[in-house]
Amino acid sequence: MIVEILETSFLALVGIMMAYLVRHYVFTLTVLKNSRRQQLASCSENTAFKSHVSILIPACNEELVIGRILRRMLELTYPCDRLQIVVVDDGSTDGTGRIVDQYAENHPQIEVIHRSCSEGRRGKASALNAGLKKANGEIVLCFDADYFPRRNIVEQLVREFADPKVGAVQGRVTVLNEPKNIVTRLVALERIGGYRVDQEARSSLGLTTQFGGTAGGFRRSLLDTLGGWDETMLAEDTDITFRAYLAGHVIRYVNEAECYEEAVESWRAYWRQRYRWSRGHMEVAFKHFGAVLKSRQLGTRSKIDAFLLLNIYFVPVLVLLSWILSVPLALSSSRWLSVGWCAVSLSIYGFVGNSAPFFEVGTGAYLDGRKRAHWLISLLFLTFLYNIPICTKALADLLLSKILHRNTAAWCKTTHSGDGNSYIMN
Amino acid sequence: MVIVGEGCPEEHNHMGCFTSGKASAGKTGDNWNVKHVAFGIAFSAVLSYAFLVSNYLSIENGVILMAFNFVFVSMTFPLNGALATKVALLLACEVVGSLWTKIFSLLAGSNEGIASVFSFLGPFVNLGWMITFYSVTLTILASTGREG
Amino acid sequence: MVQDNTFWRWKQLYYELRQDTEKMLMNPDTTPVMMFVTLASGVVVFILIMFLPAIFELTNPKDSGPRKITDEAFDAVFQMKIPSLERSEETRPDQTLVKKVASALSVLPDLES
Repeated sequence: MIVEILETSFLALVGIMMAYLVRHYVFTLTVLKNSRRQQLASCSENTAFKSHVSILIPACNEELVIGRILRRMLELTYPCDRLQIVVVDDGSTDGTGRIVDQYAENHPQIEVIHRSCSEGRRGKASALNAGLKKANGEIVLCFDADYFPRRNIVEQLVREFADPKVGAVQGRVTVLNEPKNIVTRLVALERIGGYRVDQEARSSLGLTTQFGGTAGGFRRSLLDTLGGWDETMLAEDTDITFRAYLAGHVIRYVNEAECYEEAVESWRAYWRQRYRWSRGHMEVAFKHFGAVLKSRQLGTRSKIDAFLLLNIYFVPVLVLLSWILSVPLALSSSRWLSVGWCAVSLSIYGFVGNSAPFFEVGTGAYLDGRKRAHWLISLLFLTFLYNIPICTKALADLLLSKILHRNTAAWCKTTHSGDGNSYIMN
Repeated sequence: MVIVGEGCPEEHNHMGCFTSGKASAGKTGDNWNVKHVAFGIAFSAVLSYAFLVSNYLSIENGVILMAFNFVFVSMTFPLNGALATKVALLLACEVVGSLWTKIFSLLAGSNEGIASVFSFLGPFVNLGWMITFYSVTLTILASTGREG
Repeated sequence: MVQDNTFWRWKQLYYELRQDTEKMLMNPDTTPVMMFVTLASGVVVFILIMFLPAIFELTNPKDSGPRKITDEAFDAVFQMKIPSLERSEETRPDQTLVKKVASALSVLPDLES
């Protein structure tokens, strides 16, 4: 009896992993099939739609990088009279406030909100909401302080809002400090798989495109309807993604709207960042699980994809569980073990890094014209193995905080070294 | 502001309208090379059947090789490059893969302890060579696609 | 005839190797240490082969990025950050090997004509 229960559980876990593999396989095929058409379409920019845009830049102790993004904001090709840049200095204790004030003095399109340590430092969502109060644009875009966008990124993103169904847009994130070390190179590969293939496919198939919290934005009207960002959520970007979809809107991914970011440079920083992402994502999963399944705004395909997306950070935990289950099954000489074990081991390379299979990452690198970056794909299993304890701990901490009713929303940000500046010269 | 990086613009042709006029390695054919894919699937089906019928590999290893063939063909045959190149690369993967699994089967068949270790490690071992060959195949296809 | 002999010799060699391996592994006198050494060396060889391209790319990066985002308004001027990565660089074994394989495969007959 116990063996049957274990076998059923084991096979159920294997089935879930296979569902994710099939999903990513379909995504990769979709992008391969559409890559030529997308390229031609991207060349015809619709520049007629030019509304007022507000760009929010939340910053907490970003003196090493804030100057770079503000300089870039001044170089944007979008008409200055239709552009407002709102920087939220959220309780910084370094020179961030001073640097931002210098820019605001000389450039009227840059506005600053200074929040003291007591008033601010309650998380990125809180900073964004504070910036939103000052924003007067019809479109609100967000950039993290360490980002460095294309000069015409605003036009690239804003043109999608010509479609009234589109409530939000997401651009592509590219790692700037990729050559730094093995961690940055592996993170860059993850980004390639996640944006070039995963997000692209989901957008073109009309599934759940995720707003990544930066290099993207929303219609002001939608933000007002949703009441802004939820300040109790760690992953406010994922939360607002699902709220937008549940409200009947669509998020579109724009691959040409590229933006550089500084990736984490050490395994410790990687742990902290992924811990935050996984815990936040799981929190959102608990919050929206029922609503997604019951939603009448989402079609069946979208529901399935949204469900899989919501639970993606549980997958490393499920893989660990299947390995644990395989031990008693092996001892009891279960006939299903050898069948399921192949499938379980596929999950090692089915969820490399940030949940993209090896063929997704390889295809993305190929479409990007990379020569040998994909030779490092075999190392991505290290990041997956690393993600297993990260996600397990995140789940355990989340469950504990729910039991003890603890809210941990705060600025849990990645420290930026500014080393990406070496790739950008004046 | 100048972006500093390695190589020349022609070396790294990235997607997007700013490279629309230039040839690039990172593209699929106009008709997505459907014929290549169809040929590849048929060819790999024949190869897989041959392996299974010849009893060269166990059924489990044969199925793994079949699954690899399917993924390999569907992921690489749509890309730019001559069909002959793709078939040659597929054959190379088959040869290496079958030899690899055969060697491990021999080792596993010798002793119960080793057998249980390899039954645990086997799928990971197979995935290892699959990913290595897949990534090298992408490089070769990109090189030949650019020249062709 | 010569080709048949060569093929037959390779086949014979393969069968001899196979039998020797089986004998060695099934020999009851084979000590656990020998088995462990055989297993360990097999695993090490596997790891080396599996990670060989990654090792090549890490030790001699030819594509370490970053991916260049060119702006619409101008063609970005790319400068060589590391002098040794010029186009006329000396060939390295891994680069030579890939080029050789690519050139060898390019002379294969056109299966589509």
